[in-house]
Amino acid sequence: MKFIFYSVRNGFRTFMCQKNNFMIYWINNLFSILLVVFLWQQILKYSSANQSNSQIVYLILAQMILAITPEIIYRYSQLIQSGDIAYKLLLPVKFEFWLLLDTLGYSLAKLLIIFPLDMGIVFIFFPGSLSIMSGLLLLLLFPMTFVLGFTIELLFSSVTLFTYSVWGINTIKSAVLMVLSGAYFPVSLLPSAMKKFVSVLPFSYAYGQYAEVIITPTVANVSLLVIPQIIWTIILYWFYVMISRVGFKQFVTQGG
Amino acid sequence: MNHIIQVEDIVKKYPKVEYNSLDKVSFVIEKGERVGIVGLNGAGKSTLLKIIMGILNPSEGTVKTFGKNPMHNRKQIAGKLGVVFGQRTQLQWDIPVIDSYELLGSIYGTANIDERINYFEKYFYLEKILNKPVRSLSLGQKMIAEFVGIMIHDPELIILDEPTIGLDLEIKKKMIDSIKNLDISKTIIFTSHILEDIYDVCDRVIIINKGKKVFDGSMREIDRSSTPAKVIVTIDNDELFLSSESYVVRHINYGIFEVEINQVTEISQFLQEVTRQNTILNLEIKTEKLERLIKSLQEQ
Repeated sequence: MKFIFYSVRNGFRTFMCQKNNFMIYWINNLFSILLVVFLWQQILKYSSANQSNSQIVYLILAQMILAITPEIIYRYSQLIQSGDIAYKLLLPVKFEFWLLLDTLGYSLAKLLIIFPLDMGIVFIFFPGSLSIMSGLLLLLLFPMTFVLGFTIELLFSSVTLFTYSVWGINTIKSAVLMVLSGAYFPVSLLPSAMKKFVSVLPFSYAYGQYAEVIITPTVANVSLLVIPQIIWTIILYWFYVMISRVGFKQFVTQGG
Repeated sequence: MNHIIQVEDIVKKYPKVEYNSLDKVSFVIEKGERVGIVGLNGAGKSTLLKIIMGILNPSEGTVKTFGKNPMHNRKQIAGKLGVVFGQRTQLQWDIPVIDSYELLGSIYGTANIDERINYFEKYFYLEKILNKPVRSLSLGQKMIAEFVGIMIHDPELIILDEPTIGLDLEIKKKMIDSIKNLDISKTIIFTSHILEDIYDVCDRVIIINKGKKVFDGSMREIDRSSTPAKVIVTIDNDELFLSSESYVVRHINYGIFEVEINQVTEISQFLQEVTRQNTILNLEIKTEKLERLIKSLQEQ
C-alpha cells in the first residue's frame, strides 16, 4: 500500500513542481474545448438543440479524458536513451506498474486543474446535460478508462525500444487517436461502416465511448464499455509484453 | 553456503560481432569479499555485471547469484542488491530527494529510512540535499544522493559501476571512505577506470580483457609483484643529485623531478640516497602496480 501511495504522490508532486504546468494545461484545455465546441456548433446547427448540446458535452468530456490520459512516449524513450531503464528493471516491482501509478498521480494533478474548468463550462453553458448518475459514472468508469488509455500509450512507447524517432511515433499515435478515438469526431455521428470499424478497435473505448456512456448512462451502455475495455487492456498488454521482451533484449546488446 | 556469485564458463556472443564479449569466464565471489573488476572500454565488464544482475542471459555457461539463476529470479535477487551506475539516475528528477527515498523504502519494505539516512549523515551532509529537487543538485551531490538511495534497503550485494566518475577529490574521498567502512558482511563489486579507487576499496581484482579473464588475484599478490615505481621529488633547487645512474630522471618543473625506479624493493635505497644529497621539500611515491599489470596483460 505504501508503495502505491508514494508512487502516486510522487507523480502528483512531479506535476506540481513544474510551476508553469497549471497555466499551460488550463489554456491548452480551454482552447481545445473552444475549438471543438465552435466547430461542432456549426456542423450541428441544423440538428435539434437537445442533440446538439449532448454532442458538444460529449466532446468536452472526450477532450477532458484525452487531456488527462498520460503521454508516456517521451518519458519512456528518455528512460531508454539515458539508460536509466536499467534501474527500473532491477526494482523488485514491475516497472510498468510503477509507471502506471506515477502517471496516475500526474494525471490526478491535471484533473485537479481541468475538471473544474470543464465541468464549469458544462454546467454554465449546457445546464441539465449531465444527471447525478452521469457524475457517478464519470468517477466510477474513470479508473478502467485510464488503465486502457495507459496501455495504448505503453504499446506505442514500446516502439521506442527499436527506434529513436520518438517524434514520429508520437505523431502517428496522435493521428490514430484523432481519427479513431472519438475525441474529435463523435462516434455516433460517424458513417455506419466507419462506426463498425471504430467499434472493433480499442481506441474509442478509452475516450469517445466513455463520454458516450456518461451522456447516456444505461446498464447496457456501461457493459458495452467496460467489457471491451477489460478485453482490450489484456490484449494490448500482452502485445506490449511480447514487443518489449524482444526490444529489451535488443536494447541491452548495445552495451554501456 | 557463502558463495554470493558463482560464474562458470560463461560465454556471451552478440549477433554480428566476431569475437565473444565474454569468453569462458569463471570465478566465485564469497560473502564479504570486495572485488574490483577492471578492464578497458569494451572489455566485457558491463556485460558481466548485467549477467550477474539478471538483465542479460549468457550464451553458454551458468551463473548463480545468491545461489539462484539471476535471469529467472531477478525480482527476488533485486531485494538483496544495490546498484550504482555512474552517470545514470534512479531518483526522480523534479521532486525532492527524500520523496525518492521514501518511494525506494516502500518498494524494498524498509521499515525506517530515517535510520539509514542518519547512518550516512556522518559522511555526507545529507540534510542540505534531502529537500532539494534532484535537478538542482550538483554532480557530486547527485552521486551522493544516488549512492545513499541504493543503500536505503541495506543490500547484501553492492555493485558500484564507476561510482566516482566526474567527482571532485573531496567528495570522491568521502564516498570511498563510506564504502570502505561498510559492514564487513557486505559483498562489493566495484568497477572504475580510476585504479587508485579500486586499490583503496578492494581486496581482490579480476581483470577482463577482450572478454577473457586474464587475472584474478588478491591485492597482496599485486603488491608482491615486482614492478617499477615512480617517485616525485620536490627539492629546494633545480638540480637533483643522485650518485647512482640506474634511475631514469625526468625534470617536470622547477625543483620537481620524476624518478623511475626499476623495482619497488629499491625504493628504500633510493630514498636514503636522495635525502642524503638533497634538501627534500616533498616526496610522493607512485607504485602504479595495478596500472602496470593491466598494461602488461594487455600487451601479452
